[in-house]
Amino acid sequence: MPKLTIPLLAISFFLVFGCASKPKISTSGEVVSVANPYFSDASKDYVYRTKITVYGHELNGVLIAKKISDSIHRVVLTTDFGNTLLDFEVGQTSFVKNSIVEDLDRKIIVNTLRDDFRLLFRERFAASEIHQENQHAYTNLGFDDKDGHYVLKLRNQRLVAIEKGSRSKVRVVLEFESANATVAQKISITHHDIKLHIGMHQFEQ
Amino acid sequence: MKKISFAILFLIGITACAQEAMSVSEIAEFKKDVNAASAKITTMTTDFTQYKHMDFLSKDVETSGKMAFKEPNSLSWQYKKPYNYLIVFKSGKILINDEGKKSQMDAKSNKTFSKINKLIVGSVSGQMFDEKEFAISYFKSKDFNIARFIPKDASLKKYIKQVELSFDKKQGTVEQVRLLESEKDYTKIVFKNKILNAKVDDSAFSN
Repeated sequence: MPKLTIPLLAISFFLVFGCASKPKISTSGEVVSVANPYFSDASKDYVYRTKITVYGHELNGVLIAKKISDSIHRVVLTTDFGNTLLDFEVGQTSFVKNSIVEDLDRKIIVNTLRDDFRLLFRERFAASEIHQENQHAYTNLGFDDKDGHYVLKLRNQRLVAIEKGSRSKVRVVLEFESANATVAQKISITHHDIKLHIGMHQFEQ
Repeated sequence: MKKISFAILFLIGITACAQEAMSVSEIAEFKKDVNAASAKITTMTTDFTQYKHMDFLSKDVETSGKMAFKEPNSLSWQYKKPYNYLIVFKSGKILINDEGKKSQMDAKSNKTFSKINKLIVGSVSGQMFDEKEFAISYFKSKDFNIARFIPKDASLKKYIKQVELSFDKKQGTVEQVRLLESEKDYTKIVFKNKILNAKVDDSAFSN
């Protein structure tokens, strides 16, 4: 066992430094368009078993999302028995709350979920900063808009994560695991400023 | 104006055709049959398929599993596809096993929860004809006798607007449960391979 400790330590140091070192900027001034394909097919019902953990409380259910127009997704969260807990229509610049159960109808909950869904369903990003992290086969693309600073992480040309926050602090991270680059089998939404995590597993119907 | 109301009446007439309202004597007989059938039930096991129907989806969201019921009020509801999730209602407690993660809570302490609990058990056993709790209406279709329950309790109504139970005409047992959320959106649960009064081990009602 002691023999193992040193290489492990070495590896973990390597990882720490590997992550801490600033990625090299290979291109500047160029604008790259990145697509999020995971909710973009209007003919598909996207259905996920979903677990929301908020300040130690757990809420299980089924999340159903569908692109209902060019710019709007409808998203419904139900209990396992099928009761609708919330029903939103989310666009990048529009928002309609069709229904929500009273226990969840708090401004902070509605706004946080609205923003998370907005980021989840956003299909196009125009990034102006390109950082290569060749060591891990990652490409990081950064850009700013009025809501903050974004970093899109691509691995082998595939979108694997979206970070949103400021330049100094990441506030929320969306991570995607996809076998086919069209549907994400697993999605994880982690907030760093509040204790909120949303874990989603795609339904095999 | 008259024309419009006639048109509306006509439309209502058409939609009601598939489900005809029962007469007073039919209601009395139906309730007697269901009560007699449910009085004979000591245990029940069945497979179920649940269809979540929403108007905007291209197809229903389908889940399925097994249900076990034991008199007076133990109920095990187990989803097996596409995920494993078990919820047991037993003596005022709710036990959960979520993909191996176990938890439990006390349903008695929460009035709404205990009413939901009672409603779920009642939906399966057919013992839900409580006029104090529900506004009940009765219909018959080709295949089923149908009872529609609208909760009177405001807190319960927030979660469940309307429950529709379809009973087998001969057996007097529940074949389908429909939880209606709006005219177009509902959850339908269909029971099949039902076994009545076989021995069901108590271990079926633990998580």
